[in-house]
Amino acid sequence: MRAAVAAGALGVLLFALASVPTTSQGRGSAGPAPAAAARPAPRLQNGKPSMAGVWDNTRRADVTNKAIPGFVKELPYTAWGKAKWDGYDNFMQTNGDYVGNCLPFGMSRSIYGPHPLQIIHDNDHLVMLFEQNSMFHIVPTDGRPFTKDLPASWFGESVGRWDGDTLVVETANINGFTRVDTIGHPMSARARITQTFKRVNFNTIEHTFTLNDPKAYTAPWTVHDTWALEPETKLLEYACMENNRAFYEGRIKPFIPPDDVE
Amino acid sequence: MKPASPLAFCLALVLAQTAAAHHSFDAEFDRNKPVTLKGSVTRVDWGNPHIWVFMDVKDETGKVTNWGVEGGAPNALFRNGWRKDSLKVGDMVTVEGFRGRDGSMRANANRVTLPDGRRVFAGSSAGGQ
Repeated sequence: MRAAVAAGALGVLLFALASVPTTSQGRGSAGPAPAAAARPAPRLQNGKPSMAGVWDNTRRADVTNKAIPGFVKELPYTAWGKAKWDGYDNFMQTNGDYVGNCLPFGMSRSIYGPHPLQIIHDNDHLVMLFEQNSMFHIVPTDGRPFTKDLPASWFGESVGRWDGDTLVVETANINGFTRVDTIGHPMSARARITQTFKRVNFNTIEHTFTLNDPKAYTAPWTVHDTWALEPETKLLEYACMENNRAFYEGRIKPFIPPDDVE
Repeated sequence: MKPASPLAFCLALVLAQTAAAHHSFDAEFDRNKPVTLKGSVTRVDWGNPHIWVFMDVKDETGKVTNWGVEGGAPNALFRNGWRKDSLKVGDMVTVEGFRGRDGSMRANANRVTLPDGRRVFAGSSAGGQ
């Protein structure tokens, strides 16, 4: 039995190692090579650090998972947040899962999803390209305020500002339809997300994600991550509906937006 | 109980890295209903959000049933060495996975044993909750 398990594991390992093309690097790499890590962060024309690159954004299906460093120790639920968490229908029998409907994952589930993130950066914009559902999100960094009266949306609207060499990205105007993570931690339309990006060297970004959602949580909480550059990874198309049999064939029900997230 | 072997750790690592939970696994499949299917591939739909592999499975009475098996996201599978033609029509394979909640002839694939004997991760979202 043990031999069979070991043989199976060996098979997976050899397949993974032998078959991965040289132009692609596995997700979740162990980190940058020491020699390369010594290279300083690249700079934009305005002298600020550039966050550009394809990044090994940490997969977090559960932001409280203690196995992944930087996790949240305890989520301080409000009564509404606790009720939403306790009542989460993991079997999706009463409402279709939005991601199963190929609707947007929103900011947190895209940042913490299993697919890579590419950042394009110039003096006035940071652009996040998420492979998940081939979504994009543009963050102006020229000091402009949030757009007045803009309707809420899945990813919300973001604006960026510099705090020294750290880029601070604030996101508001979120529709509140998404959950924080795959496991379903709650979030409302009052959520405001603050992310910080600090490129500590050529191959590394230190990233924080803070959720301030007074409807769901009594206090803000923060996830800390270190992202490694994945220079050999190329983002690929993700046309979500092309083969979404579970939805086409009725096993995933149509999503109905919740009416209690405002 | 002995500590996990390095190989078992590598296996766990591969599983953890590639678990691509697109939708809730539990919405469609039942992790308490493991199933092993041996049969011949009849069709491969390589597309997002999950690939689907169809296979003819013969039961102990000789009756052949066509099963639909959901795998991982194509991009994640590609990065882990899969190719669109890794499974071909007519290939004899063994799928280890979980049955659908509705009792139909559908399953979510956790591992696939290929015709050459390699047993590889198929991108199941069962671990991605």
